[in-house]
Amino acid sequence: MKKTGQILLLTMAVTGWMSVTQATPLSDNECPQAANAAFRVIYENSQHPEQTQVVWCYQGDVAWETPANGVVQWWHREPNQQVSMIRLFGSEQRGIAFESTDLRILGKQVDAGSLTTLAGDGWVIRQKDSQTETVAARFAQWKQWDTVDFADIGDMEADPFIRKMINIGFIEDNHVTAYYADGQPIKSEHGHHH
Amino acid sequence: MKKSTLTRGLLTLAIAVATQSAVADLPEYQKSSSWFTDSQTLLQQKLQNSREQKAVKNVILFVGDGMGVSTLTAARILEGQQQGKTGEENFLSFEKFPFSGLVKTYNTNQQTPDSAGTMTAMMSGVKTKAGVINISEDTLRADCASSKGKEVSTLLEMAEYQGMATGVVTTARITHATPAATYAKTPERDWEYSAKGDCKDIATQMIEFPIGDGIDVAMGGGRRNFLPKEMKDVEGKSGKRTDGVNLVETWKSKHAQGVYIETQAQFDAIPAGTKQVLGLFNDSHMRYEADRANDTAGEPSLTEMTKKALSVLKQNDKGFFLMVEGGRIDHGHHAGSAYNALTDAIEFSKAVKAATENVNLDETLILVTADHSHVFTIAGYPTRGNPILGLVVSNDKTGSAQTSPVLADDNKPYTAVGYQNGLGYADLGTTTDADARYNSGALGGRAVDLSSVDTKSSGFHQEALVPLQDSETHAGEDVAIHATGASAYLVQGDMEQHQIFHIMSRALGLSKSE
Repeated sequence: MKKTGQILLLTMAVTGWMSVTQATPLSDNECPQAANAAFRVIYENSQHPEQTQVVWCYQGDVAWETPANGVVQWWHREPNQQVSMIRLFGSEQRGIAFESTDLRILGKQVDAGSLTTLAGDGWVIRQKDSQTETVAARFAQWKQWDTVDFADIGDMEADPFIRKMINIGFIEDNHVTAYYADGQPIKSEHGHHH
Repeated sequence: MKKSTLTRGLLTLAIAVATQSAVADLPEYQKSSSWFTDSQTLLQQKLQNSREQKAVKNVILFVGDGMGVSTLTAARILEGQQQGKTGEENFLSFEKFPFSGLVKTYNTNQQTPDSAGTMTAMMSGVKTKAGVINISEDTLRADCASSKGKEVSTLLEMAEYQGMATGVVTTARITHATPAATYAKTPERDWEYSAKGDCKDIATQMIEFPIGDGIDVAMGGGRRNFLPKEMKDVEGKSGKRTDGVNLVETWKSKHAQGVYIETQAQFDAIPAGTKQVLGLFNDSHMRYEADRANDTAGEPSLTEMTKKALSVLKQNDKGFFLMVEGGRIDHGHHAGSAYNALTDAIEFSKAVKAATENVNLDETLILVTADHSHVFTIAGYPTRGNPILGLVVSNDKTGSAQTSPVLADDNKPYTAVGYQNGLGYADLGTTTDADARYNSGALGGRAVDLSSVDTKSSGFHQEALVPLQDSETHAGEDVAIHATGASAYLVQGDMEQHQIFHIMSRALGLSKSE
C-alpha cells in the first residue's frame, strides 16, 4: 500500500496523553456486557475509500480491526472494570496479551466507555449491522489464536513470531492503531491531538 | 570448648586488643563517630560467625528473578526512603546475612543468560543452554528428540527420594522457567501447556511428578496451563490446554488429602495440619506486589505464601527443601518499570525475613540469590537521600545539596536510575510530546524533557540508551548470593552458579562424595 500521508491517524481514547477531537460517535457508544450485545461498524476513509477500519462489539468486548493487515486490538473489561487488551496479528494468527497493569505501565490505559468511538478526521460509516452470529463467529475465531503475555516477551527473543513483530514495529508503537500492510504505522499529516 | 571455638575466641581477643591500642591514638571525633563505632560492631559480629559444619535438615533457596546488584542497591534505598530515611544506609533483610559471594551466570551458549539455563545450573549442578530446562547442554533447544537421554536430576527430586518435604513458591506462573527448573525437564521453556514430539509439557510434568509423594507445596500463578481451553476459571479466564485434560482434577485425585486453592479467601482457610497444597492464584503470572490489591479473586503476597509453605513443610520430620522465587522483579525490568521491579524486590526481601523468623537457623540453610541481572543502572551523582526514582539533584562545590535537578549537556534533567536498553521513556501522566513516539515504538536516549514529569510514579518508565522494541534485556554481570543458617559459610567468594547445587546437596548430605 502506498504511504500517501493522506490517511488520518486513528487513536484510541487514551487517558492522559491524547484527547479525542472530531470523534465520530456511534449511536450507541457503549458496548454493553449483555449476552445479545453484538454489532459491527465498518468505517472508510472519505478520501481513500479502500482504506477501512472495523469496530466490533460483542458482549462488552470491543475489537478494532484493520483489514489491510489483519491487525486487531481486542479490549476486554475485567470483572473489576479494569481493561485488558490483546493485539492480534492475522497473518500469524497469534497475539500479544496486555494485562491492565501492562497497559498502565505502557501508558495505554483506556476508558472502556469510549472504545466504540473512532477518533480522527475523515472516517465515515460505510456499514453498520447487528448480526449476532457473524460477530460471535469473528470473536470465536480470534479466541482460537494463540497468545503470549506482554510480560513474557522479554524472555522470548528466540521466538520467530516475536522477532517478526519487533522487526516490523508492532510490539510497542503504543499510540498508533492503524497500520499499512507492511506493518508501518499510518501517520497523520495533520499532526496529533494533545 | 572445641579447639576451633577457642582459636576463634583468641583471635577475636587479639584483634580487639590490637584495635583498641591503635584506635586509642585516633582523634576523639573520629573514634566516636557512628560510622566508626557501627562498623566496629559489625566487625565483631562477623568474627562470631560460625564456620562449623552442622547437620542441615532444611534448605530454602530464594531466587529474585533478574535481581542484579544494582537492583539490590536501588531496592534497599527505596525501602529506606519509604521508611522516611535517606535510604542508602538501609539493608534489605538478607543483606544482613553473615556470608555472601558473587555468582557467574552465563549459559553454555550465551554470555548473558536466561532463567532456564541459570536455574538448571542451580538445581542440577550443571550449566546448560538458554531456554533449556534440566537437559544437558548437548541438546538442541526446542528439539524433543535431541533431548532424550540427556535429562539431569534436580535437588528437589533428590530431596523427594530421601522422603523430605518439597515446595515451590513463585509470583510467576508455576510453570515458568525458574520454578519449572526445580521439577521439570524440557528442551524448551515455552512448552508450559503443550509440547512437541513425545516430550511432556511442563504443567503435566509437575502434576505427574513421579518421585516420593510429589511436590508437597506448589503455589504461584499459571492456572491456565492446567485447564482445558474450553474451560473458564474462577476469574473468567480460559484455560490453555488443547488436550482436554484438567490437570487440577488430576492433582485432586492423586492427593485426596491435599488442598487446592485459587483465591485469597481459600488461602486464608487452609486447614491446620494440611500436608499438601496446590495454589494457582492467577491464570498467568500473579500480580506485581504494587498491583496486588487489584486482583479480582484476591492473591496472597510472596511473604504470606512463604510463611504458609513453611508451616506445611515443617511437619515433615525428615526436613524440607523449598524454593521461593520473586518472579516479577524480572518483568518489571523488562517493561522498563523500575518502580514495579523495586517494589517487588522489597516484597521479596520481606519474604526472606519471614523465613528467617519461621525456621530454626541451627538446622536450616537459607540462600538468597538471583538467576541473572538486568541492564539497570544507578547513575549521576545524586546527593545523599535523593529519591532513588527521582531526578538527580547533585551537590554544589561545598558538598551541599543543590536545590534543583542537575542538567545534562542537553539542558535536560535525568533520573538516577535508568536502563541501558529497552522501550525507553513513556509517561502515563499528563500530556507529553507524543510526536517522538510516532516514529519509533521504542524511544532510545534523551527523547523528552523530564522537568515536569513525576518520575517517581508507578507508571513511569525510565529512559533507555539503546531502543529495543520488544523489551529491556538481561545483563551479563555477576549476581550476589547471601547465606545464613547452618553451613552458610560454604557461600563465599566468586562462585560458578552450578556450585549452588553442590552447596545445597552437601549441606543436606544428599551427595556422599561431597
